[in-house]
Amino acid sequence: MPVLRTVRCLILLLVLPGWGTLPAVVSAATDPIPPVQASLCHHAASPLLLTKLNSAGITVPCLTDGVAALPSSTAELVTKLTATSEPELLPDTDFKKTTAIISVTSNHRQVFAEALAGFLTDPHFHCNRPVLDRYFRLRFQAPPANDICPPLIPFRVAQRYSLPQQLWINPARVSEVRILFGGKGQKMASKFGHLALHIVVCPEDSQDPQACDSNLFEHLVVGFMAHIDEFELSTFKALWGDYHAYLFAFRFMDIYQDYAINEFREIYSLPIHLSPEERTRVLRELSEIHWAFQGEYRFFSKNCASLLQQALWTLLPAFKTDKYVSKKFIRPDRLFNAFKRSGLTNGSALAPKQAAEKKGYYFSSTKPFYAKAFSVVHGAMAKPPFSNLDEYLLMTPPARRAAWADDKAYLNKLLNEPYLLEAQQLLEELALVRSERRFHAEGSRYLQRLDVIKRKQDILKQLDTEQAALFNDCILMPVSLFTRPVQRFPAIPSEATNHEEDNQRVLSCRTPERQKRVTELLKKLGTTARKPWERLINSSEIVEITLENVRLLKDIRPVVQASDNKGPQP
Amino acid sequence: MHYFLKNIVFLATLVLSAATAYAEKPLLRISCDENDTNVKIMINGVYKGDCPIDISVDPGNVMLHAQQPVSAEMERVFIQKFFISDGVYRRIDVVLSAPQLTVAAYKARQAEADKKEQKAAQQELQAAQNGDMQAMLRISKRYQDGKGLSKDPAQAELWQKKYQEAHEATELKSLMQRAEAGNSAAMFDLAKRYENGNGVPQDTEKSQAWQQKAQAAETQKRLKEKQEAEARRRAKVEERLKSYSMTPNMDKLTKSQSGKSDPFDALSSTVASPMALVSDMLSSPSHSAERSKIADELTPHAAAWAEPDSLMAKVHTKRQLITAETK
Repeated sequence: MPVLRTVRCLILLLVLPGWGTLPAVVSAATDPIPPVQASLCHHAASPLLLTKLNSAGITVPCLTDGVAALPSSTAELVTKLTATSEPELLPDTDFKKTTAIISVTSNHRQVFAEALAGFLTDPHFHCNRPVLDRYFRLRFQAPPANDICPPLIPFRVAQRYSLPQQLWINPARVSEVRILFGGKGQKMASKFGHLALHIVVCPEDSQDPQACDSNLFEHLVVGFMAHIDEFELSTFKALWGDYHAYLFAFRFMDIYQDYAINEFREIYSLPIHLSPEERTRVLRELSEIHWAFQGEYRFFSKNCASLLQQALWTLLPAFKTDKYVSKKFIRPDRLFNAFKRSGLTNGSALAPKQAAEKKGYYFSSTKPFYAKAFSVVHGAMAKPPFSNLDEYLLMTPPARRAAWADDKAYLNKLLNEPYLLEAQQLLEELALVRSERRFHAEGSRYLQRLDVIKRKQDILKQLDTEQAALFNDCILMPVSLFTRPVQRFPAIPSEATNHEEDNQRVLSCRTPERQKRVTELLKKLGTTARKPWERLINSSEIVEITLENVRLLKDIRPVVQASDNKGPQP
Repeated sequence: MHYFLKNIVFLATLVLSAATAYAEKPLLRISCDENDTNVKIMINGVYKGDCPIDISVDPGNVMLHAQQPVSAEMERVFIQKFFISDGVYRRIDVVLSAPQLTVAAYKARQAEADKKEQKAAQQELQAAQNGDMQAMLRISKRYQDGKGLSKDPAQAELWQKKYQEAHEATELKSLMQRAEAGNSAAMFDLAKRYENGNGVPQDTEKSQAWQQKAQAAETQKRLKEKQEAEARRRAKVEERLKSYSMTPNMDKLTKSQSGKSDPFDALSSTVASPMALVSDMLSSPSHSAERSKIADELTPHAAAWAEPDSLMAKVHTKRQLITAETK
């Protein structure tokens, strides 16, 4: 466990189903994608590649319009390329480094042959395999592609309360790409912080830098994380690279809630110097990594920092030669410091902190904010039944409510002092965030105890036909969405992926009638895991009552505002 | 038998007439149901005898009127009009009506009704003259229709006008009373009347005074409504404050949970646990949407409260404005 704790920041858990409505960054997954122009016949434009292909006895004729003619089958071309001994048609070190971050690597030679075949024959290769396309153009001295790629770039973004959503990002609306550092946490596990990329997405109707920076609800964070495909973390798997790493995408505000509110950590957002063209290219290439990459996640060698560094070396060659960041880093905090010193980023944006916080380059931990709220609330109560914030949060929600609702003098203060009311509201909101986290943890324990996958057959024997169908559709399928490997794609998808079908299947379970039956079924199954079930239901009730506390305090608010009594200010 | 003999006599007369070619006047044979007795027969208003009867009539239009008295006021009648020429023989079977008022009785009753109507009209006239607005309307109608009073369009119009004046006066009185009582809408109306001289003498000062009073009353009214709405909301909130009580074992379970190490504490942040899927299974889409909305509101809240200059504070304010606009 101590080992785990030292690397805790590096491990993240992906949950496929279950997470909230994301404001459409650009458009829904079903929006039509404009057609793209066909790419040039690369080998014709590259005498070097043409020579090497000829010397290997491989012919891929070009048509008059500059489009490569398809060989009798792509497989045939791949076979020929795999079999060739021509050194210039074999993977080199750069290729190995490149593919290490953009594909599921196993056999470099095979991967190289397939990629080159794609480069030679796929008219959309430049757009849907941009990292590989850039590599081949550089290696074979082919001129830059002049075809027009689709204007929208897809990412599958995790949601807090609902299924992940496929969003299409318009690079023209991206004003900056930044390095995001989730600062050191109080616990050992988050001691070295976490690194990812922060995509600053502008509002639809404005390119004004301030408007873009404050459009936080549409900003995205993409970062390398481990996919834990079971209900509890295995230390050995984590150490030996048995968990897969992927480049996941999240809403910035979800990251902020988890870091700054849930874990009381600071967040830094360090702008990378990029031209508009570079931003578009980086965004497209990140999308390729997001959809295609699957690697090992090792706590001490291949973690969020090292994978991000490798990706930046591939995406932005200047990072490979910079004196500060060309050295390999394992610790996120040290790599972040190197990024700050590097001239490739705007390190001065982070200081002083007050100015950075005003501009959105720095986000404080909310710990002092809640501490202040606690102090205001505690000071206003005659006999507070708690002495510190932790004690307040450990009280049951009815007991917390009793503390502020049953004390008539205090309730009257709440009704008349907006500043105090807001402080009280903040404490309940923090309790809600914490109770949801607790609920998730109890749910994990319950599923672990139920061990649905292993006990599938036993469980099915206990159920009638209708219950079995419900079990399959509404429990087993969502669980399998979580436990199965993350689906990989050979290229950036040009349309909505079949994730949407999974989403639809899960959504079909969310009618009130089916949800009632699912609850009954879970309860029935819960008899074999009674304690975890009781705790799960209890934690669910705690969330619900805390939610009602939050609603109540929100509803009190207009009464206060109407009274025109502003109350004491800090 | 008597009837049979009469027929014999009638036939004999016809034979005799034909034989002698003496009489060319038309002949009528009027017969009644054998149960109908005492049926008087009148031809062109002249009583000719009881039914049955054979009558020689003058050629031309004939009005046959059969009448059987039932009581002093009731009778059964049969009336038939027809044309008859010389030398024609016609047989008429009288079918009496159901009992009905005799003409005299009808007239007597009509006279009595007219008398009553006149009396009522006089009473209404008296009431109308005394200011009864409904009576004025009725009198106007009586003069228009000639019912209880002699038809007189001028008088009808006069009483209609009197009614309108009385109605307006009443309205004005009511308006003033409501205005005096503090009704803001009435005050606005009254101000308008003084402004236009509608029903009252034109008076700008009074108009402005009522306008001001109306505005003050309106503000007062809205404030009162707002206070009442707030009181209702507050009562609801207070009701909700009491609605949850501690569920059994909650405290114990909460403490037992908090005491245990959370497997996901060992994991980082940023993402959730697989429990989100159970949360998804157990929550309705609308509930998830509400949770998502509340999460969006609360996430920047602390920074906005404690660091009003921070970017997060601006985001929070913008979010609140959007929420307020959508409401």
